[in-house]
Amino acid sequence: MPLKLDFTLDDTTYRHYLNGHPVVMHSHHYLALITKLVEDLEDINGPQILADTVEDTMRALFEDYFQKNSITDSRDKGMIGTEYFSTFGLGKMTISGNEQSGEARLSHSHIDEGWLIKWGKHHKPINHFTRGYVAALFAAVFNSAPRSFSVTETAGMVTGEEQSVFVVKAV
Amino acid sequence: MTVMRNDVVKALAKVTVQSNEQGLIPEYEVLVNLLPVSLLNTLTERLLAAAPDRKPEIEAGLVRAAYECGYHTGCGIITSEIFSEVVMPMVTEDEKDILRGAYAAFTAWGWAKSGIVQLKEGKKMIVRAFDYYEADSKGEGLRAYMLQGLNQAFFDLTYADPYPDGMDTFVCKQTKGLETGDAYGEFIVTCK
Amino acid sequence: MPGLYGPTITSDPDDRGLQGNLSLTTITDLLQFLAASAESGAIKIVRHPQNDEGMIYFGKGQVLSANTSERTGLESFADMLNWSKGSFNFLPGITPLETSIGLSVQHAILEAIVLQENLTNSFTPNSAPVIEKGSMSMEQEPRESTDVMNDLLEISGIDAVVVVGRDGFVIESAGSSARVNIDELGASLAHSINGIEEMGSELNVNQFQDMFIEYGRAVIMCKPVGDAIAAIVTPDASKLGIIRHKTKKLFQELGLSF
Repeated sequence: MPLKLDFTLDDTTYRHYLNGHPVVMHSHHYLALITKLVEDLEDINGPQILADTVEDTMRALFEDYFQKNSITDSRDKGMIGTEYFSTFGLGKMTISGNEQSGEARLSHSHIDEGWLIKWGKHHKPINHFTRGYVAALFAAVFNSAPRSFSVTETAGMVTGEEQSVFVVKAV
Repeated sequence: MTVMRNDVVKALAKVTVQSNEQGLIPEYEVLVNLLPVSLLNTLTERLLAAAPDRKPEIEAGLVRAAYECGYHTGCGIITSEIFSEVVMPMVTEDEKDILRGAYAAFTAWGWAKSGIVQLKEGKKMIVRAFDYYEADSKGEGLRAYMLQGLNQAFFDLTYADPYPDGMDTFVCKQTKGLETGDAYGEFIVTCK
Repeated sequence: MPGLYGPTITSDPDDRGLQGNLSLTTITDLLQFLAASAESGAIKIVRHPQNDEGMIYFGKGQVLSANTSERTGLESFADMLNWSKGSFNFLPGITPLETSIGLSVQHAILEAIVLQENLTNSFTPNSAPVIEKGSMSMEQEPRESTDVMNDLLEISGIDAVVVVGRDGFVIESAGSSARVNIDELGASLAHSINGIEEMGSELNVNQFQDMFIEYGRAVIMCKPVGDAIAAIVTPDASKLGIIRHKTKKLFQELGLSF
């Protein structure tokens, strides 16, 4: 079941909407610097704040879509989540797993490739954004509560790997 | 003839971005992303709430992210095919008109329903915005960080040294905000 | 007309005339009232503190003649419209020796303003707007544009005020008019003014100064304010003269914001 895309424009405010949710364009420079900002705020758990924020907002968006389109099958939910990832321009994601554990892989990644274009390689993975996204997707697929899954980036394109890999575990 | 904002807004608002088979959106010499505004606003709110004593540092980081995004993407926009087709035929006042076109693009692409109120070429610019997504954020004080960065970026692109050498020539200060109850957001760009 | 029978203007039972103080009313308001009342006679005005004297004669809704010690006709009338301090007496039944103006009150006010503007422009080409002493002191910060626009809305007959950038961006608007859509007005005005400016440039007749457009259900008056354009919307042309007179300083003040 492919993701249905409904792009609309409010011609008074000129805000853009995707499936009823206001969206805005930014570039890889923006997300690279936001990622850098949260890394610099490591002492106040900045990276996890970013991941949790992504988890919460994406979860709400997924649930809204599933409800409006009567999506109940977990495979369909997973597919829609990964298609949304590409629609946002965030890259190409595949997921596998069950309620206990799983994995997400990125063969293309806006955040990693953007970071590489801007700054080159880094000594450790930095894709906290996608950690939150994967947590939201697994929780939505398996109807779990927020923060039900911990997501660790075990390989990152920014460190020179071909793909970014995220290991998912039920908490 | 000068750049007619409504014509530009109507033409550019029809432009949609779509990801390629790699799930990426390479446009305007950058990789574009399309994110829910609630995500961006919530992140700002949570970062500021987590470290209120480091507010200036976090605010500066948010402005910087928007500034560099605006500076690099802005250059891609004003040299893009669509800008050449839609805006450039109306340009008769050089930089001034390119800036007018840029603010029409700001509006059309949903960053802010904004425009130039006062322009002293190469010295000062006052911009008003009647709608922008950061106005929806919760918090205290003026907090249109994205717009501050974008305004500074576009003035740098227009009046500082040619890209990419003109960064950080000007600075933008927000003086009014929808988020603090004003009728509009107001931004003043001046020399650093 | 606020205050006409209040303390600003009083009726003298002996000479059946009206008298009052210019700090509390204006000559244009007074003329409009007297014209509407079908009065005929003369207004004797004394400007303070100079003690300059002037007379404006009118009858049957027309300004017939005017004179001051230095000028006669429309020039003197235009001069007196700017007197903001002083006193006046209405002398009913007085007629002038000759008719040097002979225009309806509205038309005379309009012509006087055009004359004043032409004189001002010929003496101060390309200069910054002159704000009269008393309206805003040199030391004061310029007022917020919103405050100036609200003052414009206070002028009787003005439904809406809009300030538009040269690109058609509606910078600010105040009031409301069911007659026009303000956003559409912004775009249309910018198109029109840009065309008019191009024409002025080709004809080499200096910069655009103002424009009136009269439609069946609205009159739109536009003026440049700084780098922007201000427009007011009024239901009809009947009050255009007085509106033009009363908006003059406010438009100048508005120009400081844009």
